[in-house]
Amino acid sequence: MVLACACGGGGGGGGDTVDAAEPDAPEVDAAVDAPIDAFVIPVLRNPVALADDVLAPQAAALLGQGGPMRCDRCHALTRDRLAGWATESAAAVTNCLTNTAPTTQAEGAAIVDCLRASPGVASSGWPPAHLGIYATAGRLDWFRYVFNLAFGTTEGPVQLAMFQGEAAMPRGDVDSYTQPEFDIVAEWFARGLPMIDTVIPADPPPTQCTTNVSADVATHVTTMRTQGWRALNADAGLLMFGCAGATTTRGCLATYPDSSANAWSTGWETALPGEVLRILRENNYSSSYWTRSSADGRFVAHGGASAGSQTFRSTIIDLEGSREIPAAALYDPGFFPDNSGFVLQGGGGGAKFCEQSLLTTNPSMVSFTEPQCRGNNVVGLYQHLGAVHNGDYWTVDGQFTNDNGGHNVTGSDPSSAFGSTASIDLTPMIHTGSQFDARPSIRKALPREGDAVISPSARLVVSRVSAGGGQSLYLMRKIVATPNGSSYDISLPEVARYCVRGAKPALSFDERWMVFEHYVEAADWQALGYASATDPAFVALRASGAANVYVMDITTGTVRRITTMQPGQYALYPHFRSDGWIYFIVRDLNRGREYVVASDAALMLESQ
Amino acid sequence: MRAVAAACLGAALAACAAPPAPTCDDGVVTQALTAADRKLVGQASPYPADGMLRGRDAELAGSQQARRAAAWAAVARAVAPVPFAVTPTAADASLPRWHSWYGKDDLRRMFDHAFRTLSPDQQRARDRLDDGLLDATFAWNPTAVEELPTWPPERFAEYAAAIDRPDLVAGVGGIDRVQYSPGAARHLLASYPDILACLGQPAPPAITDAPTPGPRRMVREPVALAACSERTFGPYFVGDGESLTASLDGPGQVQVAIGTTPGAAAPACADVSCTVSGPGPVWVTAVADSEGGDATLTIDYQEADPTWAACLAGAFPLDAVIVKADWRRAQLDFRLPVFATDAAALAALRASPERAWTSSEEADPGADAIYTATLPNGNRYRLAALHLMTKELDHWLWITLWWSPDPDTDFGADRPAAIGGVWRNYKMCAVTSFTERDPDPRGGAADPTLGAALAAAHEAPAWCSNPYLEAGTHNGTSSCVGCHQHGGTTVTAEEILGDDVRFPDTGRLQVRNNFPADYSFAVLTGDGVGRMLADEVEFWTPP
Repeated sequence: MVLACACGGGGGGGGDTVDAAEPDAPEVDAAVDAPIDAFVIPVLRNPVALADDVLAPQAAALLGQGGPMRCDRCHALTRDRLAGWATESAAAVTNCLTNTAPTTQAEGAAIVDCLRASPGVASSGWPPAHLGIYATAGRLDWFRYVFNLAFGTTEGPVQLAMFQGEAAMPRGDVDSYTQPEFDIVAEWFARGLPMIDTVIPADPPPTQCTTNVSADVATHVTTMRTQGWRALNADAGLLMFGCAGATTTRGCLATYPDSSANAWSTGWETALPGEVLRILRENNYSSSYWTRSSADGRFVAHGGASAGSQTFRSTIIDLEGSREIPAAALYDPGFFPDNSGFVLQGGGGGAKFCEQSLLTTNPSMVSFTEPQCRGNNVVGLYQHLGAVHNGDYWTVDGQFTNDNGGHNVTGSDPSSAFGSTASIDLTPMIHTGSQFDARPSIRKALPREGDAVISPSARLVVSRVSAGGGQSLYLMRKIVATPNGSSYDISLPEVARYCVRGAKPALSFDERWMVFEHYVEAADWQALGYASATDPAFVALRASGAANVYVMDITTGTVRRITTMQPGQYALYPHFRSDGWIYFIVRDLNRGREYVVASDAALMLESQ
Repeated sequence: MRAVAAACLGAALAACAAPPAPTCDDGVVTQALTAADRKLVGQASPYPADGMLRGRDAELAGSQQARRAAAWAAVARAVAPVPFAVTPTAADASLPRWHSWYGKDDLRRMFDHAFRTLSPDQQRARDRLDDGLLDATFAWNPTAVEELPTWPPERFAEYAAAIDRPDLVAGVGGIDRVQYSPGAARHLLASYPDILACLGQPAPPAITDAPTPGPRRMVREPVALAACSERTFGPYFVGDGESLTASLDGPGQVQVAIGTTPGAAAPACADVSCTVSGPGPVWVTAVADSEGGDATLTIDYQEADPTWAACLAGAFPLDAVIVKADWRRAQLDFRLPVFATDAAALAALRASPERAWTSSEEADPGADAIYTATLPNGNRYRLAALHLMTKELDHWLWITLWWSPDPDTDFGADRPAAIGGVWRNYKMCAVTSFTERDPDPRGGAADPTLGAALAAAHEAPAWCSNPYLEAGTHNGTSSCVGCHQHGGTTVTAEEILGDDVRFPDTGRLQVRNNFPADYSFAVLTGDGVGRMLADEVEFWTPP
């Protein structure tokens, strides 16, 4: 996700990265010569006179290369990634940071507005991608000055806090840069990342892309039939949304129209004959990043909101009554598999956890100040949640690639090239008897693996790995947690790898199925049934872009496509609810709408 | 299933590193008996209430000694071992009676089962679950697991066989935060229309001139009667101006005696249904006819000055008990804080501005010294404290137990020998009224450490505070009944303990006569029973 942890927006993009930023302070600090009582405008960055061969390693180390984790807490420090940030930085300087010594309210407001996602729209927020490396200056004096100038000393700090909550890097428990540190990093970017090939090693990805599923997977799936959350929730009588009166699970949600009911959705289900796709809701707003749902399927959450607000920028949809509940967060929803609670991220205050019972009281909004909610700064962005039955909760986070495609034409999956220093943090939330107590995260090095997700039972973790040559792997590991002292020892033996291209996956509650989206790429013509890569229909599809949802049986690695999207339609962020229905959204560029869609594909496949 | 208590990540959310917020029985995390566990345990063991205790209300309020003796007797009834319905591998497997009781998941399972037997029209009309339906539902509950495809007989047999240690036996009882005796559980299910009507309503007035409610249920119990056999229940105290009605649905009749034990004189009434008026102790004998068989005995009484409970179908029945357990993880370096409750500690507590319990040391007691439960996943927990509120008194008998490494001094010095096993490691205080009416600060205690401790805590407002459960500022000088009088309202613990104008003496004084949920926080807040019932009803009868 763009807003992820550290150093600005999404990766990718290469190209020239000359930063036009001129240092706004002369090499001799202007403050030295100023009258003793004169107000001095803080500098955005000071020039650094170090030679390239001295500057480059210092800057790289400050980013996290070979030193304490900083940006690499969340982002792979690859050459491509840094080049992408340099491009964003240059754009920020050219577009928004030409005046680094504003003195009037209008000048300050112009800078603040320029950095927004949608300039002129006060509720649109400040994505880090609009700042590039300057996101790492978000907590320094210059931005404080500019916000106070733009909004006054009363409103300025409020707006600044929102800006920092969304844009300032790095996030979480990683130390922010001091001004001298930022100066070094910014100088390196401004010079165009000289000697990057010397200080940032190449990350040759694995060259093998072979599906290999061990017997452990089948054993795990067998165990989960009775001990997984699908069985546990069913045993506990969890009331599945839309199932009142249904005699079978596939009979749930029958009151919703299927995809053949609309011209714009006709044919979606043709990839898997017999499958039913139901349109649960049409949204008139654009969501941000991924979408997730409660175990019972009643609540669907994501970043984005229909009403303009600087605070309530995410939405929890209560499908019972098709009601939107604005939430004071930005993105990254997660729901615990036992239907007990949920989490959202962003907007200050770290991860925000609430009891799910809060949502069934029909709240008009969720401010996260409710007594059912608490926050913490332990759990990083892009987190995924799991729970041991009657035991501890677990979260996983680590390096990730933003996936916010389909707002514009998107022609490839998010990059799976993660760094050789990549790691994941597994955070146990220990059940003390009356509450859950977050223990320090347990960091495990997983070189070149990212976008890690944890299974509902907290017994598996799946990550994405680049396999070179345009191929990519899902790598599955077993989580072996052994109590030791006040926490756990963790080992992560590999149990399977699947040579499949796709974005961040999600596992079913019975942990037999994995579901993911895959953007239509140039090599997909044959798999999608076109005559050739130059087939006009395929060319048209590629021109507008599209994404489809796939489901995989993890015991065999067999993959089935379960949607057939039309050009400009992106089926995204698929995930399961407890009973096996798959939820995802469709982002429709043609109609400017998004839909919440349910599929019974896995239920159908399991009965075959 | 558990409810995340606001994931504090400190997640479920409650505490984190911040000082604990005051609490008034508002626990939310539950880990209940599963359907399989319920089959092992069987129907929860009814609480054998002392039907005469309400006749001693004034005596108990005026005598710490009598009060504590009655409370210890109630504890003995609550912790008495009850056998499993399906015996696991462990020898002599049993649970303390309270641990066999129902958690919210049991309530949900049973309510779901019962509500779905109603017709759609009845569901939409929020028809009551009648006695027969509730009888059948409680009987069905232990068999629910047999309807689950994930629990074939061989799996259940393996599960039972694996329970081969005492801590695993205790684990079958789960680590529910709140558990309800059969009488309490049944009353909550029977009250679902009233509870639903109260959800989301404005706060009820503190003082009300309430109408007199109908009769209050004392007992409804299935009995198996052999031909020509008898079974006697009671005695029950029936006060001046009150009446008791007993009836038998089955092959036989009831005989009701008042003032004298059965057989000492002719019964005051013998019929399928009898009503007698107080004052006096009343015995009820179910007498089978020449064939015998299964019957159901029902005993109701009409109070002279009943407790008003607008959010329930009347006050809880005599055999209602609600417990709140404080389980503490016994792994991952978790140790148990130790709290001194002797005279010096209580004096210091009262003298401190915070009046909050503080612990100066920790302990790591083994399963032989503290009630310990190990769940099937291997997680091990200790029972640090246990609240019991029993409806043997009209305004409840309030008892709270806490573990101590020095259990035979102060509040454990008068523990009767009849309470054995790990329960000998728990101390206890009890309260029955808003004010302390015992004129003797030392409570007539024979043991000097108990007398000194009682004297240190003695003041006009009644006191009884559990160091493990009553966390936070001012909570060391609170009392169960004072806090719980606000059950069924939205008043928070912070308000009760922090607003000395609205809630004098840290909330200990009586400020209301309107008890919408009959002193229970579990109905509308806390355990969230009301919300659970509403979720079920709304699911099956969507708008």
